[in-house]
Amino acid sequence: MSIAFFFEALCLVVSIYCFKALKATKMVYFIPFLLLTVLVEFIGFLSISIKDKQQNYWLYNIFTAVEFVFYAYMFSINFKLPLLRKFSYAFMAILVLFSVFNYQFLQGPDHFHTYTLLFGSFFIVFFCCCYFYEWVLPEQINQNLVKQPFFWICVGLLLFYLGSVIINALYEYLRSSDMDKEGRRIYSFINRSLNVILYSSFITSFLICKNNKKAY
Amino acid sequence: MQKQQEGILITIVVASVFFLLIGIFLLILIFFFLRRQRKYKMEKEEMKNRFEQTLLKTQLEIQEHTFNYISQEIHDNIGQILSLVRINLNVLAENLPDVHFEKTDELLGKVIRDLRTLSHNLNSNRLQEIGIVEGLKSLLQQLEKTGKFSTEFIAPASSLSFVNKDNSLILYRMVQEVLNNIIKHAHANKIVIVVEPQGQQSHLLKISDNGRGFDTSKLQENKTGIGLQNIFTRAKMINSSVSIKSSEQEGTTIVFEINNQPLLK
Repeated sequence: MSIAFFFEALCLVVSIYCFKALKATKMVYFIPFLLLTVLVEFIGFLSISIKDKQQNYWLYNIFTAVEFVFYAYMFSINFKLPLLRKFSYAFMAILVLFSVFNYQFLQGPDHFHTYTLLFGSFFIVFFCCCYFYEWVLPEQINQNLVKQPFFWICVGLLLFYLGSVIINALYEYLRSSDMDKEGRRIYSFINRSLNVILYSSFITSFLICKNNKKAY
Repeated sequence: MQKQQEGILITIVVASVFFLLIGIFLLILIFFFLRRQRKYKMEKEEMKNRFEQTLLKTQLEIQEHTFNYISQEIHDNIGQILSLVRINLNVLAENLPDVHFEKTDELLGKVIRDLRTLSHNLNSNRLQEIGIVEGLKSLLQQLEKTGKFSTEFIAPASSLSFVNKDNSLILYRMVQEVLNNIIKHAHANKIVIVVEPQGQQSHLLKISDNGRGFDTSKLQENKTGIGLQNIFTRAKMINSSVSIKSSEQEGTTIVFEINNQPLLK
């Protein structure tokens, strides 16, 4: 088990701890999502460590699609401009279609779906930028962005997907036989570091939710 | 070959860190942009508020100047002429029947007294001489004299002593406006003014009547008359808040919360 898994579990615990505050907002959806994430990580870990190094790509390929649909849905809730909301709904449908297409015709069932990951990453970064754009519009100036729970979700997502874009793009190259060992090490290192940033941001967001509720 | 691989891996790590830094830079940029924008907007609003305050202060100064002028004219000109008329009437009294003379003299005396009161009410110098508490008491006494109202004034010693001259005049005009509203609209026969200190920082000034009351939802819909609007505007000028409690047939209470640190200095 890695430090990233520890942060995921910690994030789940914090979200449950802040349940009362999250219940009042749509942020409550993060609890089942984080539960699913921890479960997927745990099953993924078991499948490679116990069952004779069995491949767990199928699990992560499904989870990647679910993850992007969930984030897109959260963006659609938090967007104020109707156009962006519609765009995020469209993205959800396109991503599912792309994922199926990738499974059938591109990378197949035996590979990690890096194309889906890159496609989703690009749009999540785009959505983060759109969210920040909405906040620099004059009508939002009065509110404090740092005290918005979803801002911290965006911070985590932006840094995670920006930081992992290179490593995901070169995933197949790094797994090639002559770089397999070093490639794995680098991939794990970058991915775990970014996961720590991502889940720390999520934890910050949940704690802000709790503080905001106290302030009311 | 080994070195080439190392080079590739280092490039990947550097590129990832570079992308991460771009993200962080973007966030910092947004944060500072928003902070600057908010500061700019706050400054703009502060300037607007100051401008409005200055404008209101000027309007009130002009109004007070006009009031003082009218007051002097009533006191020195119309009052003098009426006194002369009364003296002349006394001279002519020998040729008039007693009943007519007494009635006319009584009416003339009342006109002179009312004009003197009006002159005092309009004159801000007099208020500054006697102080806000005495000014308010005198307003109630005048109402009491009409015989239509019974009044009560409750204030502990040294009440409202922190209110400066400019603000006490504004407060006095606000109370005058409230009393005018009671006379015109409330159909009340009892008026009570209570001053309640709320620590050293603020005092509550409550004006209650036992009149027919009104629907306070009109206040939220901005369907109020000029008089009430003036009260709210003046209250804002002296950093005072106004709350109105009223229900139909159960009278009205207007509460001013007067703070120790007025905006108008």
